[in-house]
Amino acid sequence: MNSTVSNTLVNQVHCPSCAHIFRPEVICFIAEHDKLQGDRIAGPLEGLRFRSSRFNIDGNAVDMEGRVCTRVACPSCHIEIPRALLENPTCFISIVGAPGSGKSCLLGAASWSLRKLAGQYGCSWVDVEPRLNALLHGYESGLFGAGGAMRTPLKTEVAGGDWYHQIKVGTKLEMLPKPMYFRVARTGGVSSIIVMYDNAGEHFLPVAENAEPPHTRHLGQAQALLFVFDPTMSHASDKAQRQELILIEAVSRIRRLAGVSQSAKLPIPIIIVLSKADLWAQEIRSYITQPPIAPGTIVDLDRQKIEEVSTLSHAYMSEKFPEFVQSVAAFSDRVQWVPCCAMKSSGKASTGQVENQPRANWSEVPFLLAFDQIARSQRRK
Amino acid sequence: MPFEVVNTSAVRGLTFGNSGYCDVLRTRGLPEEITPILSPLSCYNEMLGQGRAICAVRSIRFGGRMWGVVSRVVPNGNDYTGRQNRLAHHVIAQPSELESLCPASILSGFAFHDSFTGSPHYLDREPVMSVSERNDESVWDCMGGSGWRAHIAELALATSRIVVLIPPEADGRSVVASIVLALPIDQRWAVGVVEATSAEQCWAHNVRIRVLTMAPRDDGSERAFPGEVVVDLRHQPNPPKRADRSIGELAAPPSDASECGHTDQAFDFSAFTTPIQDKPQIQVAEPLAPSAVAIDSRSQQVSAGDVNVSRRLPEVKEMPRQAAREPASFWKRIGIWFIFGAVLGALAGLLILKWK
Repeated sequence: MNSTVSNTLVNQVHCPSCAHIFRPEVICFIAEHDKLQGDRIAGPLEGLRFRSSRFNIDGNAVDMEGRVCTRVACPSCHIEIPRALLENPTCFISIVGAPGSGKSCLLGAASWSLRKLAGQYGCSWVDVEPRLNALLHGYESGLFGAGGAMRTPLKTEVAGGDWYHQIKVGTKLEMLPKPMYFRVARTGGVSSIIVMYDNAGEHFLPVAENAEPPHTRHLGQAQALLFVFDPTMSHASDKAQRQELILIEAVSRIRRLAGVSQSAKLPIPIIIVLSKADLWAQEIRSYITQPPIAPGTIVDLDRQKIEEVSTLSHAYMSEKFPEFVQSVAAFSDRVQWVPCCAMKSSGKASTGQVENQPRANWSEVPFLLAFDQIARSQRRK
Repeated sequence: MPFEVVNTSAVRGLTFGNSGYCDVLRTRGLPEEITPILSPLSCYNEMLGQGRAICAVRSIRFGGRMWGVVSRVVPNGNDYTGRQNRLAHHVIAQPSELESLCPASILSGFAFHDSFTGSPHYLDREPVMSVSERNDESVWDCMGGSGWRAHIAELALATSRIVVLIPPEADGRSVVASIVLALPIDQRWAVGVVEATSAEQCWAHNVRIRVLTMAPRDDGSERAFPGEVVVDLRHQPNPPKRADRSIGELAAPPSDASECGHTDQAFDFSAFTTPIQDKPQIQVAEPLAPSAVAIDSRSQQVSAGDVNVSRRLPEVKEMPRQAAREPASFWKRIGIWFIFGAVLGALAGLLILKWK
């Protein structure tokens, strides 16, 4: 089928996996023919990556065996990327937090909520390519699938498994986190691609073996930072991690990778996501039962209500975790404090065990807020 | 001395400030830089593992040399955050130990941890073998006999990737150990045998044989990737054909358990110093291109297109001879050109003299 609508390509494409910046015309196509299986970097189970010189009338590449190829890959790391990255502006959102702070649950709950509520916020929220978001679909099913029966959450692996792309550069094996892609668009407006990552909390610990592990290279191109803070993880207990140290380490890596001056404040918005709100936010809980919706220019977010909740949360954090609040203030002036919860924990009277029920409250707000702030800073409509 | 590493999710790790998935037990002296290389080997695939302990024999490259790793990963309840946990226990053989240390004996006789309690600490002793002795041969009784292990080893040396499907009643650890024993001694670490692992992970760690436990009614082809040879042992009451010509038998694994050091308290480093260490001489036939293997589960026989390893190996063996011939022909060519140049020079000199 010939498309009559011309596609406008972006000037530069940022590879979400390896952070390589390239022009759209140097993109690699992925061979579709069975004879062309196997790539020296992506592995023998992947199709050959090649720079095409033959195209059909729709602009798709034709491989050496004559098959039309529609999938594309980064010319540097050879990992498949959605074709929408060539046509739409991209928002990179990095999610950082201590091990066990609830990053994966937040992602699953936010994605599930936005599928249902995006229309109420005046936008659409869909997977760019569902195949590339399979990991997130697993989170959603685990949290909200199977008739509401929630499974014990899986712990994100530090390396290997389904969480990472594995490529070989020479004899060296590199693991890069699998990005998740969503298309968000205001009705009648320009659509954007949101790219998010689910890292293991261990990658952000200040004692990581490698000073700049490839898993967290995306911090350098992040346009918004979502820091997941777990207020139930008090550092007075034996089972806690010092979360302010993780924030300091993340900011330090962003500065190094993005070339920001070590003394300057971060130029990107920081959103502190206060997870597990059902367990700690007694006075705030009533505010977050309903989604904050009010007419807006980019997303219909009730910014006044969010500011109100943010102020309350800030006050709570200043009282309970002053060391963390002080660290945040040192790094940015554009900080929002958003409480949310992905599930509700309750004690079961009959067995005495803690039971988790899926209940996503405000889990979508940090993502929409990040997108809203990025779009405003870029003056998009 | 081989090293030990235990990796699981804990409040505190060996390194100060570490938590979550980290090393909680490590033999003193093991370089810390090896930890990032071991991390991907600690993964547990819940879908393929189905809650059972999984074993693996792999090799890694560290410091420009090959190290051997025998791993056992087991689900370990919930961790301190309430999420699912796993415990990986690795025994790491140094490059100098690869010839003397048998991975099958580690798998069969080593007491792997199922859980870890207490505080993280370093070990100052070498790994200790358990006294109990395992008989890995009997595991093949429900899969058509032990001839299959040699056949699998033969296929692995001839083709690139093998998937072995075994029934749930077969013990995966015994199957892995048994296949490793069937491989030639110098290939036991390099070939790699893993249990319940995805094809991508096998590629990433240069593993050629993966063993998957599947119910008899499940479709095995769903789990196999293009290019992988599937050996389905779930419906095999008969031994394979031509097992008597297998590489595994030629490599002659130790006939009794004591040869692998099963009964000793510590590893026996002199395990493979018997005359069988020498590679068997295989009769060379004309080179053949490798062909795919198809196992017909209905007829329960190996089809005619299987690969003859004895024909495949000489291609590799002949390479040094060709390389050795190259310098001779090079000097020959230099000599010819030198003589040709001298004759031309003489003629030119004569012509110049005549012209003057």
